[in-house]
Amino acid sequence: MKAVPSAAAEEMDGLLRVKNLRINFNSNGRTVEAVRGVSFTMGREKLAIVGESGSGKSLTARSFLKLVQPIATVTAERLEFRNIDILRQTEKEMRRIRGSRITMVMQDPRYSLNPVIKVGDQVAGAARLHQRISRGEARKKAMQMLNSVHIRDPERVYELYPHEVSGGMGQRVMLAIMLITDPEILIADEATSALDVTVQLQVLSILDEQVRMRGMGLLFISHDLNLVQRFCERIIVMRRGEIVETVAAADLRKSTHPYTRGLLESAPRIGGPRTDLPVLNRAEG
Amino acid sequence: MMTPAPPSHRSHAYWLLDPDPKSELQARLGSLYRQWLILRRNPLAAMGLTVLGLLVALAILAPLIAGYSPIEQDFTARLAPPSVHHFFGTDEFGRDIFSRVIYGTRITLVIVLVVVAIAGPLGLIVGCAAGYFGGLIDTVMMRITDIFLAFPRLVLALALVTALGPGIINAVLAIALTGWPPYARVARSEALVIRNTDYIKAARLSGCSHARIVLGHILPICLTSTIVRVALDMSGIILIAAGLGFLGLGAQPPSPEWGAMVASGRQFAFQQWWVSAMPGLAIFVVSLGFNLLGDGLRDALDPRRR
Amino acid sequence: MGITVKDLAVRYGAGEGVLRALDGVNFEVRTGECYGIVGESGSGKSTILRVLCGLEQRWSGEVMVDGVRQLASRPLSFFKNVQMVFQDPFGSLHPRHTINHIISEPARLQGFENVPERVEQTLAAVGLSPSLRFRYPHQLSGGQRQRVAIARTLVVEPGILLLDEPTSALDVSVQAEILNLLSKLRRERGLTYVLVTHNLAVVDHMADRIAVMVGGRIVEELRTGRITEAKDPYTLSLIEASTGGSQTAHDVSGPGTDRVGREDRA
Repeated sequence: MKAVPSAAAEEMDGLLRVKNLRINFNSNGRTVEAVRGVSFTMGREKLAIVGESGSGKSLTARSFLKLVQPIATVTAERLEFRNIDILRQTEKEMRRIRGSRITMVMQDPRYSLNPVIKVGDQVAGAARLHQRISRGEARKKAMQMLNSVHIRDPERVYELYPHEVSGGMGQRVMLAIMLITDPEILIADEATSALDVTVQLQVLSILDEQVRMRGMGLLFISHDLNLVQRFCERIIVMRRGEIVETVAAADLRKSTHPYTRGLLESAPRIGGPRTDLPVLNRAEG
Repeated sequence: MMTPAPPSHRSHAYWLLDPDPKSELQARLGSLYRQWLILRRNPLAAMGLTVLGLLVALAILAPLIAGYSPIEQDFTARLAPPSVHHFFGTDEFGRDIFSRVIYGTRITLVIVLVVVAIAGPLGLIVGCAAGYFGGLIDTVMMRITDIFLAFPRLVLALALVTALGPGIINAVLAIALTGWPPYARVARSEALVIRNTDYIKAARLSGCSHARIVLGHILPICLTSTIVRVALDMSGIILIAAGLGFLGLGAQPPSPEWGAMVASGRQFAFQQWWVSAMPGLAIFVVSLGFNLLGDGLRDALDPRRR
Repeated sequence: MGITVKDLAVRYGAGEGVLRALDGVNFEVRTGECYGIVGESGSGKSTILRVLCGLEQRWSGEVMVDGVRQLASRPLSFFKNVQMVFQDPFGSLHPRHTINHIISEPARLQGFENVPERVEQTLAAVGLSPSLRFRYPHQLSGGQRQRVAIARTLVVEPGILLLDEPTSALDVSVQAEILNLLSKLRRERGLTYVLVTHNLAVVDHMADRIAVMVGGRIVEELRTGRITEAKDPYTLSLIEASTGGSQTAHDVSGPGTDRVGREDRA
């Protein structure tokens, strides 16, 4: 799929629009600026936000779901999903968006899945929460969903509890839960970071298939530059609350921005040289 | 958007809040000071601390604040109602109740300190050891704890006092000896979690003996929750002491122990309500203060907030 | 000299429900070498380290360290020679101890003198400013904490360092600094490393030889720089996954998954 530079994205169906987003925390009397003036537009594409810890990437994504308040103060000139002004939405209105129109998969299914409910019932429950369907219909839908995330034995897996499934299976279940309502945008917040590398590939390919099939937008948060370069179409690089660079995935390795280059070069590579790895110039020790 | 003014260059706060302490002492005191600042900001804790501070102040300054001797009797002023001369009125022996309540703070303080000094460390060590070692040691210690926990506290305290004889020290001992099991439980459940952490594994790889690990590594972490538990328990301890006093098994007359005062005022409860009500009020205020302090401590010392 | 492991097995439970964390592992680490062990979760790689340092005491087989046959529990002198760096910089330092206390304790227990000077020297050796000496762990960044963890091991002057995913919890840029530090220390002090990680790129960068583990067994041993000569199908799938691989969705029941993780058990 061709990379879409951000100016043209604005003309197309901009699913998410943010301008000058600022998120501040108040801790023990001091103000911490976690996100400082972030602006971008996202369309029907696979957009990655990449950064190290403290870059503000997760907070930025969560602000679209209005999950950041009241712990922090969120201000922006624009924070829109389609033509809905997120900042103005009430909690009740947000509940109709969360989990049905914009959904999110997080890092560790052990903490996202309810440990005392069967996984199948959690998928069915997600469907019933946002659609008026009967128990039986929800169960059927859940089975179909488990199937479409390539779980081989949906009838058997349906009856399992979260502690009985492996990490990769748990993430597939999370995907099933988060896709069963046919959302317009999926936010994946380090969704594969806790998985073994071979399982990561499997989950990513399922994600890719689903996104293409449904024509959704995917906002992919990660710390792994190499991963997003292979998987996404456009990449936003964040550092300490600010956007450092926005680049098409294909052009990532040609980037001349010092921070991006630093990130790319400081990662060891298989078959790479065994001399010291280049190190980012850091402001603090 | 407020940032607190940085402490002035020479103040003690500057030294305590130094981000790069120069010695273990400075580091330790600085850490305590930061916790103190958090504690102070919490309204519940502040209220509790005020009550506690008042208790200590009154205990120390009792002779200066009380107008009368707590034991001197004056039959001409028996059962006088609260007035300008006697803020809380007088009891059946003509003793000034206000003075007795003030002097009674000393007894309350003694009770609090002795119980904390005995029950706290005892429960903490038993719990930490049981949680860390597991196995037979854990089983034996926890069954002993269970035995103590199974008895209603007042009944066991009564039995001990009956065996040892009445008197404030024995009453306090009885309360302390029956009061340590909950602290052991609290410490044990934390120790169970802590013993699997990497820093405990690292301690073993450093060559630490088991005793050093329990006392130097596990105990400091369990200390916080035990302190909170002790503070929350305190009101219960004061009430039990008052109960024992009420039954005549605590401090003996003419000692101005609040529970005993409430008991002796029972016969006048309707006509001369102040004889029971005033010491009862004191018990209430101090218990409430400790509860608030415990709540505030728990909120302030919760490691997740730091 | 170095480390020799023969027929190492660790079993939990018995009978039908037995879990073989290690199922007959054999390898050798030469003095001064960096030996890498790579595998995914459940492969047993961390169990090997726990056996080597004495934290895991229920094992069978033979473990020799510097020519001495090891028993289940280790004497104090063992820990002067063998030390371990843990994965989680947030969890391997005692939250209530100052950095000074954390680094001093092993030195004092091993009977060193001039402990305060040693602490300062070791802090300098890992690139930390002496002004951090009396801070608490929560006042340091992840990278700084990991340096303290390394300093804690160095202060007793060991010959062998066991590294359990030392950079997995760190940002990529911080990882680079720590890996460089570890390389430098090994060169300067002639240390022997056993490095365990799930990250193939890290182990290829750091190790002289690499063992690939799956299901409690070593399936292949490779020389670094020759990773592409790997023959074992699991190693090949690991390499492919680490460098991207193809992105076609495939079923959980795919052939490669039987030996990978626990997919098929669920």
